Order: sequence, then structure tokens, then C-alpha cells
Amino acid sequence: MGSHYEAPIRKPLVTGNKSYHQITVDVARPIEGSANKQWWIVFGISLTLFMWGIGCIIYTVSTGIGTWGLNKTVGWAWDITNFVWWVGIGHAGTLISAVLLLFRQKWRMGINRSAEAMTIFSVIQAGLFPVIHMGRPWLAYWIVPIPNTFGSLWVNFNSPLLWDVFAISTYLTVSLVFWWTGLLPDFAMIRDRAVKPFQKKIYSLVSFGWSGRAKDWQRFEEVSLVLAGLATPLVLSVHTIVSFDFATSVIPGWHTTIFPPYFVAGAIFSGFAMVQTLLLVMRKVCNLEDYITLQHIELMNIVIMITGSIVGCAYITELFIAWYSGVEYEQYAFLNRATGPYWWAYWAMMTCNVFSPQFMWFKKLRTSITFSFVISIVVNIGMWFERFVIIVTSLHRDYLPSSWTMFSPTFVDIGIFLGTIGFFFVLFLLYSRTFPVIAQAEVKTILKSSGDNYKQTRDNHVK
Amino acid sequence: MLNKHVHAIYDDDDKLLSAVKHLRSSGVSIKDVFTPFPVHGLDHALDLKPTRIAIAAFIYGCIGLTTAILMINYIMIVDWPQNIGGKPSFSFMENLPAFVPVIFELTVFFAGHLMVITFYVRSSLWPFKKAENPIPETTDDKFLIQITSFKDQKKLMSIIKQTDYHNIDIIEHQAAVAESNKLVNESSQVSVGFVFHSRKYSNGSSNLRIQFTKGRGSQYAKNTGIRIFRKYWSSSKNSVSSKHPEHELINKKLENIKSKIVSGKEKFKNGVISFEQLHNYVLDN
Amino acid sequence: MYVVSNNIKILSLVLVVLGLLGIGYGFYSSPKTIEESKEMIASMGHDSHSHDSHSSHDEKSYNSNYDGDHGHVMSHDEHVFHQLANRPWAAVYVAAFFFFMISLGTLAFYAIQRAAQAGWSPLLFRVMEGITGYLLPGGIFVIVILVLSVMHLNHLFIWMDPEVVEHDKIIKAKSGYLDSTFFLIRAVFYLSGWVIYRYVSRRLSIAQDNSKDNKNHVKNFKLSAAFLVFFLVTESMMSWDWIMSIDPHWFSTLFGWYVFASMVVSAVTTIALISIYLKSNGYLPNINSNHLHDLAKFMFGFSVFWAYLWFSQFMLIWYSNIPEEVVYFISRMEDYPLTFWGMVVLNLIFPFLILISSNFKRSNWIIVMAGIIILIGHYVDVFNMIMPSAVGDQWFIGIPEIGSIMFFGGIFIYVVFSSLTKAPLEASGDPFNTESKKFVYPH
Repeated sequence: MGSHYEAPIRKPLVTGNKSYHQITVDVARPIEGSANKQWWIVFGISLTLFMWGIGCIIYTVSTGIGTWGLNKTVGWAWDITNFVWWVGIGHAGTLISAVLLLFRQKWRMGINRSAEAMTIFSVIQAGLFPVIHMGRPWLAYWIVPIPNTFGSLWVNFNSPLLWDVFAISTYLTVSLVFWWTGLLPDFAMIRDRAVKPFQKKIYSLVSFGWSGRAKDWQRFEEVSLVLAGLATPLVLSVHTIVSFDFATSVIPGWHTTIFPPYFVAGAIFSGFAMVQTLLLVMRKVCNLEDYITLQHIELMNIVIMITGSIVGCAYITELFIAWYSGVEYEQYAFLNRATGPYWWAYWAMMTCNVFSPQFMWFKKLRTSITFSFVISIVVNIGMWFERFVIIVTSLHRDYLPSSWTMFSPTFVDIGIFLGTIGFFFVLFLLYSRTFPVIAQAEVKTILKSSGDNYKQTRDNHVK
Repeated sequence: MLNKHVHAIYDDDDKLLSAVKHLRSSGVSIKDVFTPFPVHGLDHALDLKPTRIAIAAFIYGCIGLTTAILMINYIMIVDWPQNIGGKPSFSFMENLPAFVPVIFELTVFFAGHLMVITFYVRSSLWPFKKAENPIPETTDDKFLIQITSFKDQKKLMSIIKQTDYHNIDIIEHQAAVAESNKLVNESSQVSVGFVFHSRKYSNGSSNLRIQFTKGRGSQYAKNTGIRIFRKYWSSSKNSVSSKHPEHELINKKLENIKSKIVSGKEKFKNGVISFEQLHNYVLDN
Repeated sequence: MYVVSNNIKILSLVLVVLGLLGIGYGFYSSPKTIEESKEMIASMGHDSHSHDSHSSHDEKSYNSNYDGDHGHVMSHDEHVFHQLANRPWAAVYVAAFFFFMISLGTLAFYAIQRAAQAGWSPLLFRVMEGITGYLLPGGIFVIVILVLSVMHLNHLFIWMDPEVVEHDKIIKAKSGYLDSTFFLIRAVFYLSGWVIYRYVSRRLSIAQDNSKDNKNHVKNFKLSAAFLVFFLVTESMMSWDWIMSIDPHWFSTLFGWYVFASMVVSAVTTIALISIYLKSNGYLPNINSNHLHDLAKFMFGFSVFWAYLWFSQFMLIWYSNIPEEVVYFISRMEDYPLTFWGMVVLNLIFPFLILISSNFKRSNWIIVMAGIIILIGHYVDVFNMIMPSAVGDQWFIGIPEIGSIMFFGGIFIYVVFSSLTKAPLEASGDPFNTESKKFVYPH
């Protein structure tokens, strides 16, 4: 039993005296059962928002970007804010899958499947924005470096916008592949339990014939480790490249060297908050509280607190260096943020991002379900405002005062954003009833080390 | 000559590991082992060669790196150089900082995707591929050692019986996998387990049910008539914990049911009752 | 219990003595007056490593320190005199800071291990605590140099010179922060906070060895988490104060975190090297190649992370090409190409290629070799941050530089190994000790 040892001081990660079989049953239950009324209500609302968003997108593509609130001074606003917001949220999934695997954090097992699903669905939302903000989205294929009849006219590898194309595509596809490969054994479990012929066919298809041979598991584990090793720098690089969209410019408030790691920390911050929001609900609805325990919730809150503090430190650094630099444009950019016409956005950002996670220093609060849920929403609101503040306040008043103007969103801006939220939840709700939402094969590997019954026996034995 | 397969089935990973070690040291040649999750130490016990897939990923990454550099050099420096922001447009090296992000992404892209494709090809995984685990429980909670080549069946059985096995199946393996599926279905492969109904009553308790599964195709469940809170149930012992006020009474009922299950399975194996009649036998008071 | 071997004692003594000689020579041979410096330049005869466009360089590096049109009228000769006179000071400062940062980086890594409740590293805690034994003496060395700079014994920090500030609008605007007294108070504040944490944490760690419950461990956990917040802020400020202000016209918001990355790579490397040394002398019986593998993974990972931060800072400034920012890298690329680009090879290319293989990560001699390269590389990193502004193109890695490394290296070795004797090498009371002993990777 050597390899199953875990220090008694660690809290159990699987509660409820589970056996391997019980884990199978618990994870299969939401798929084998049917959706309840709550699911249908939330699905209905999400679907409605999604449809509304599609309508707004069709209106935009057919009529033009003029349906949005953009103007010459503020050329990017809700579109890019939403893009960065969604990409950022997606980062937590990869972090949980990849980075926590490399750090051998066993608590990731209960949450990584859903976190990765969240990543895929977020990146899909993110990817919509670069396409629809193009003006002529039917020419979107022009961003790919393929030979053409225009001489050949190529894409510009010096441009961060193109770096984004490569980064997001790589990120989406590699995350998808990482997620799907991890799903194979779990789909196989559903396949082998399936009774209805249609279910059997579908799960046989998606499980790729996974049989659980020892050699396959050996390769599987190595592939997971290598993918984790690749995905870690990938996740850092993607949000870094997104930050390069701003940092490579000369605009005060945009051009600053701290953006790469600060954006990454912010992405993890908002991503974990979104995972928290989703899992707090899902664990209740799908009866998975024994797998997504209070310990998991507390650890996620700690990550939120740490990354929030890093983001806060970055804010303070930017403020200080703006003063220290003596560059008047830089100094004005920050003065304007805090006291100009968008001061309310700035202070919302500060309150939500810097002050609220600090509550997690208190054990009572970070183990409270209600408080965790509230903070997770607050953090995501704050992170939306952070991107809005960076983009809009820096653009609306930069070097030339005669160009200074304000920006207001139109109903189309808002509608598309709500539509992506709807689409995200549609995808996630469908996922929660058709995919095994917990990486049950992985959880089984930690049952003997971290299951409460096994820990108790082992600890009693030692005493 | 009939080709027989012997399947030694275990219900615990540690038992499996010691069994594998015991069998191998007794000279048994193991064809394959099927497990619901990766068992640490198993590849070592089976003397599996370490996988070189990580080295393959590194090579694929190098290919991606080279492709990216050649592509960008051709596009930006050779074919159509442009003055972008005043950067020296005829020199790859002097523009390198701007090219690094795409070079990095393509390296990761190639490394990741080609490695996964290699994995799928080597492990024979693709959509529409038929699964080859001999019993469906190997994706649930059973561990199966598959032995296909042996000389003395009696000797093999005695070696296996020295380990802590859960079950031993002997399959007459005639032709293709499809055939063995049929045999498995017709073999004495019935499993009976306790499960809870997913729906909860208003006070939070649920019905305890018995689930009957035959092979991979058939499954149904019936109520035992016992209704309790899930938290009192111990799935490892299949009984109600002593915290429940009426645990003695309920466990007595359960003992009854459990012995009926054992004899019911025997009867099914011997063909006395059919799978569909099994629940009547077990729950018949 | 560890006992300092005679070899170590002799080694540190030799290093200190040789180092002192080298430093002494550096100070002795540096010019004391402008005339002496003119003679030195003439005899060197427009020397080897400066380019043909030497004079235009001077203009550039001259301008990087002094705002062009706010003429503090300093003659070229006076400027070169300051650079040459700075050289032994800069050599001492770079070496002093380098060894101090290893200690500080180790303290941060140790705090992270405690706050993260790591199960693989507790067997290494006493080694880490030993390395942090250099924190106080090392910090004092650095602060003494800062005090001597404030007393105008050198021109490392030109903003300390009231003559310069008088004619420099930019520095004047930040003289509220770049004020000598405030500067020193801050330095003492940072060091005090770090040293207090080290002292209390070490005390709790030793107490836990003999205690029946986990109270010390839990206190240490909470203390480490709080420390990390303090560290996050003070480390950034320290790097702005002690390094970034050497170029008072330049700024980079990433600077603090970039220095941190350098710190933590050097720290993990040092932990690995010392652990290998101790193990090869029969100590640390429960440490095996699994722990080494993890340390090597951190060496690899943090090297890549450092390179990522280096690249981010460099590329963003290169890309937007804003004159007041880019001049920092122009002086480095033109006057210091060997050390500048060489640093990337030492800190990224080598560690990446050598340490990517799992097998290599478990081999003692490969880790030692990679570790030495990484440490040299990060010394060069600190060199590149300080020398160009202090010494300009009058740089070389010669007797003063190597002497300084030897001096501080000798003291570092002696202090660290002495610290290792002060407590048992195994933190036997740590609740994660058993996990650390049973730790196997890969499974």
C-alpha cells in the first residue's frame, strides 16, 4: 500500500465511503437519468439568450459594424473586452488540467473534466468576436497564410492580431484534444454500462474503442503528462499574446511590460471564479458533493485569492511606475481612469478584483458555499470591467485631445455579449447531461489515498 | 484445436498487482491486463517497455519549429518583404522577436497534435473502433488478466487460485471478437449490485434497489422495499451503517436478500432460472 | 547532524582571501582622478571590445544617463572617469546582490512550499533554511554598499548626486522617491521583514521536530502565506530601488517580477547543488533521485519562465521602439552583445535542451553541470542589469569581477554550511515528512 499513502493532515478528497463501483454509478447517474425541471428552466433561458445573440450577430454581419457603438476614437470596446474576457476564463480549465497535473495536486481530479469543458466552451465564445468584428467576416479565411491569386498576398507575421490567430487556434485544438483523450476511458465506462442501443452506439463511437489495456494506460499517462507539459507554456503564451495586442502599441495604459504575466494571472483569476460558479451549482444538482467537496471549493478560493492579489499587485505597480516614469501621458491615463468620466468602471474593477478576494483570508468565508458563489460572480464582473477599463479608457483619451470622445454600447453590443453567455450555458448544460462530468477513472486512482474511508482505516492502523 | 482464454478477474488494484507478480514468477505468460484506471507499478510488473511517445513529441516539435521558421522566412523576408514599423525587412534575425510568438505556437501545435495522433494509431483508437475488453466491468471496478497461451489448464488454475481472485472465466475462443461477445453473453456472467434510485423523496431518502446486469446488453433494477438516506449506506460492505437507528433490522433483511442473490446466481448459471426471472427469485418473500 | 567539513572551511577561506585580493586590486587600479583615467584610456588605445563607432556610443550612453538638452555639462572625460571608478564598485555590488538574491529566492521558494502544503519537499526544508542563513549577512553587505553610495563614495546611483539631480528635470520629478534617506529606510524595512520571517519560520520548524501536535506547522503555514504577500510587494520595490534606479530615466513595470524569476531559478539550482553535495558525503539518506527529479523540473520550468519574462520585456520595448525605453536595450545590445545574448543561451537554450529529458533530470552530474551553467547565466543577468549603466562600455569580466564573486561566494558557502550545522538535516516533525520519504516519481 506504499503508493497509496497520504499524510493524515490532508483532508479527504472523496467523501461518502465510496467504492470504485460507487464512483462509476455516481458519475454515470446524470447521464443515465433524465433532466429535471431546474435544468430545463435554465436551459430555456440560456437558449433564448443564445437565439437573441444570433439575431444580433446576423444584424451586425448584414448591416455592418455601425450597428455597434464604436467610433473613430474608440475603435475597440465591447467586442474586444468580451473576447479577452472569454479567453481569460478559458485559461482556468487548462491550468487545472495541465498545471495542477504537473504539480501533482490530487484535488484537480474531481474538477478538471468540467473545467476543461468550460475552457472549450469559453474559447468558442471568444473566437466569435475576432470573426464578427471583422466587418467582412465572409473574408475571414484571409487570416490564414495560404497562397492566393493576389500576388500572393500574405498575412503579416509582425502583427499581434495574427499571433492571436495562431495562438487561439492552437489553444482551442490542443485543449480539445487533451479533453477528449482524457474522456476516452470515461466514455468507455458509459458505453459498457449502456443498455439502450442508441446510447450504446453513441458512446461506442466517442470512446474510440477504448479497452483499458495496460499498454494503452501506459501511453495514456505519458501522453497526458506531455500534453500537460505542452499546455502549460501554451496557456501562458495564449493570454500573453492576447496582452501583446495592447502592449506592443505606444498608447499609455496599453504599452507596459507587465501585461503578459499580469494578464495570465488575471485569466486564471477569472477562470477559477467561473469554474467555481459552475461547480457550486453542478455539484448540488448532480449530487456530486462527495467528489467536489468543501476542500475543493476552499482550494479554488485560495487560488482566486492568490491570483487576485497578484493582479492587485500589478495594478499598484502600474500606478507607481506611471508616476515614477514622469511621462505625463502615462500619468494622465491613470488619473483619467480613476477620476475621469469612466471612474465608475475603474472603481468597480478595483472593488471586485482587489478588495473582494481578500475576504478569502478568513477560513469561515472561504468555506462558505454562499459566499464563494457570490464572490465568484463578483470576480467575473470585476474582470470584465478590467478589460473594459484598459481598452476604452485608454482609447477614448489618448495623445490628441481633439479626438477625445465617449463610448456607449448599443443594444447590439449588449445583445451579442448576452448571446455568448447564453451559448456558453447551452453548451455547458448539454455537456452536463451527456458527458461524464467527473474524470471518474482518475478519481478511482486517488480513492485509496484520499477517500475518507481509506484514510480513516490507514490513520487508525497507524495509531 | 480449441483455443481457450482464461480470464482471472480481481476486484482490487493491489490484489491485481500481487497476482500479476505471482503469475509471472510462476511462469505464466500474460497476454493482456484490462483495468478501469491506470494501476501504478503494473507496467513495471508486466515488464512493459517504456513508451517513447514523449521522444516522438519532441521530434514533432522540432518539425513544427523548422516549418514555422521556413514558412515565416519565406513569407516575410523572401517573397514579399514590407516596411512594417521601420523594422529591417530583409533580415529574418533582426525581426526575430516579432516572429517568436507564431514560431512558438506552431511548435506546440505540431508537437501536441502529432503526438496524440501517434498515440491513437499505436493504441488502435478511432471512432467506430470496437471495444475489446472481455467483460464490461473492466471499465467499472474489475481488473482482468487475460491468459491465452498455456499448456496445462489445471496447473494454471491452481496458480491463479493461489491469488486473491474475484472470479475466473474460461472462454472457448473460436473465431473473431464478435463470437467471444456472444459467448460472454451466454456465459454465466450476471452481476447483481445495490444501487439507489436517483429520485429523492421529500424528506431526502431514496429507494434502495437491486440492479441486475447480464453481459453488456441487458440491465434492469427493482426496488428492495428498503428506503433510507444515502448517507447511511456503506457501498463497500453493502450494508447499512450502525448510525442508522434500525440498522440491525435492515441489515438482517439485507442478509436474506444477499444469500438469495448468491443462490439466484447459481441457479441462473445452471440454467434453472432465466435472467428475467432472477429478480422474482431474489425478492420473493 | 551536519558538521562542516574541513574542505569547505578551507575552500571558503581561500575564496575569501583571493576575493579580497581581487577586489583590492580592482580598487587600487581604478583611476582616482580624471587625469589618471585619461591616461588609462590612452594606454588601452581604444580598446578591444568597443566597436568602431566608439564615439557615437559614448554619445548614446552619455545620453542614456543624462538627458540630452538638460545639459549637466559633464565632460566626456569626467564621464569616463566616473565609469572607470565605478567599475570595482559595480563588480562588488553585482556579486553581493547575486549571492543575496539566491538566499532571498530560496526563502521565497521555501515559503511557497509551506503555503502550498507540498509533500515532496519537506525533506529538503533544512537545506533551504541553511541557504537562507545567508539572508541577513548578505543583506547587510548590500545595504552597506548602498550606504557607501549614499555617502558619495561612488557614482553607481547617479540620482544620489545632487549636482546631477539639479540639472535633470526627470530625476527631479521623482526625487520624492529617489531620496537617499527614504531609500535607505526602505532598504532596512525590506530586509527586516524578510529576516524576521526567516527567523520565526526557522524557529517554528525546529520546534515542530520535538512537538506532539501540529500547532507549529500550522502557525508556519499561516505565517508563510502572509509572508508571501509582504514579499510580493517588497521584492518588486527592492528591485526598483536597488537595480532599476541605476538607470533613473528608464522604467519597466515587469522589472520586479523579472528579477524574481532570476532569483528563484538561482535558488532552486543552489538547493539542488547543495543537496547533491550533502548526499554524496553521506548526509540526507532519505533524499533520492525522485527529489532530484523534482528539483530539476523546477530548474527547467523556472528557466523557461525566466526566459518568457525576459522575452516579454525585451520584445515589447523593441517592438514599440519608444526612444526613452529602447535606449536601455540599445546600450546592452551594442556594448554588451556577448553577455547579453550569451545570457539567453546560458539561461534558456542550455537548460531547456539538457533538462528536458526525464532521465537527465535524475542524474547527479548532469544536474550539477546544468546548475553551474544556470548560476553563471544568472550572474551574467545581474551583470547585464547593473554594469551598462554604471560602467558603460568600460566593462570587462576581469579581476575585480571575479574577485568579487570569489569573495562573496566564499562567505556564502561558509555561512550556508555553518547554518546547516545548527539543526538536524531532516525536519523529522513535519507532518508531511512521511509523504516526502515515500515520494516516488514517476510511479
